[in-house]
Amino acid sequence: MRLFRQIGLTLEQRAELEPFWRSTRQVWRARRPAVIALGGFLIGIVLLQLLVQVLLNLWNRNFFDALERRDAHTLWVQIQLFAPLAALSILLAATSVWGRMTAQRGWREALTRHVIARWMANNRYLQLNGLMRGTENPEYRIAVDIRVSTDAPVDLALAFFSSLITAVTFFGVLWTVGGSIDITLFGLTLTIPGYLVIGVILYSTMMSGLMTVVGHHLASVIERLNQSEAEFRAAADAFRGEQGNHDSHVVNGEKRSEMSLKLQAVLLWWRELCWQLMRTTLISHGNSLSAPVVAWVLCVPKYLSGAMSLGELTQTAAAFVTVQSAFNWLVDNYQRLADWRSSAHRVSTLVAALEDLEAKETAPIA
Amino acid sequence: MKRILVATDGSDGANRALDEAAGLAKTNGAALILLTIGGTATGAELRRLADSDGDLSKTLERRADRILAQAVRRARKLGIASPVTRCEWGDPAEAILDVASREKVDAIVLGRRGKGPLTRLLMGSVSQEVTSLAPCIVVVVP
Repeated sequence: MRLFRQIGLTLEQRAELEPFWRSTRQVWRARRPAVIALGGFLIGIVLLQLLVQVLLNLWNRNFFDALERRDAHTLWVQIQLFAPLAALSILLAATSVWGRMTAQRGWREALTRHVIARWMANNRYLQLNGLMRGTENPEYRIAVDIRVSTDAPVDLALAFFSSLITAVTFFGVLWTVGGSIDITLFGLTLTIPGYLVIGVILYSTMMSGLMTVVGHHLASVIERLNQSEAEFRAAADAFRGEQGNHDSHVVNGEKRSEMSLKLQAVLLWWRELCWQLMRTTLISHGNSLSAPVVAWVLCVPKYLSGAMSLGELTQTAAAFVTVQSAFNWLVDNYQRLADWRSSAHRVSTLVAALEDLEAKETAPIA
Repeated sequence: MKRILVATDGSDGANRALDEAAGLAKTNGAALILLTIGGTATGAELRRLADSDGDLSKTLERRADRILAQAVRRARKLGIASPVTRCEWGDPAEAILDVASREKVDAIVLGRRGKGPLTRLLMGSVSQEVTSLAPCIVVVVP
């Protein structure tokens, strides 16, 4: 369960990321009405997308039922219904992109301006310039790490919310449409209620378990790679800094060697990431192929016995895949979570250093 | 011959090359430069480091330092009082040629084979590449 422990740490390392969240709260408070409006808008979009997804799921059933009955009139009605549903789905997807990117842009702008203002005040950028540990490359932290750290949470939070409500909603579809199944064993008939719900839970648990076993190093490898990339940038920055020195021949040699070492570390972590991604791809790709087939296989006995129509078969199979995909939120996103954590941590150390300087400036002189 | 460069990775082949290079340096009264090219780690080592928050750069540096310290001890035993040490990272052939050119060496001494089957194969190609491109004498010790 190391993966889940690592993800847990990612989410829970409050102390480490507290300066990042503290600054975020400050900039959010200053824009409270816009934050609430945009947050509400995004939640509304997710709910509408779920509604369309449910309608499309129902459409699926009605279409295939009509197909099974060879009912041309209903088929034509369903085809006509599909166009507005598809248009609504497309419109919501595009609107969601606008909402998400507007939220990301606003958060990034507010936090970047906030950090720049604190960094430049009282010439703090000169005091931070390599003198304080954990503040190397402040320009990069401001330009790139703030972008990554404000970009990912919006997508991740919305994806999580969407996965949660999707799973709950489609559990209902699986429970009601899938119904129960009777299994006869040694002359005894066993009725399993909501067997598709049980099936999807077992299948998802198995897939997540496999992914945990196969990819349990992935999050930490990504984090180490990100750290190495930052160290490499810092070494390159230090090398550039030495170019102005007249007697820098020896120092240049050392800095060059340091840069070469840091590059080597980046390349080694990159190689390991490649192996980790290959391993997890085996499971994720296998899952994308097998999930629909497992859903069909689970539904087939009821279809063959006549207890389920073709429409219900396709509807429940689609619901099974939807719930299974929702369950995969964690596994699908832990690479992005690890990236976010690295960037948020680097922003945090910069903010913490600025806070230290501010505290020293305002402290009464003894 | 005033400056001799020997590349080592701590393997038996590299030690044989070091012995030859030390002999050459003594005979000619030349300075001996010991070079190691660091920067290799197995997948298992990397995963261990990732899980324990270990520092890869420091691990690589420590490993290179160990190889160089071992080589210095061996060179001293062979009568070279103060060998010069150099450490580079990355592609071995490129690093050897780079140091040879920077240090203006008169000869490069290499072992033909390194550690492990893959490294053996690679070291074979390293000695081949260095032999083709070096601006000085290259001695490949079998």
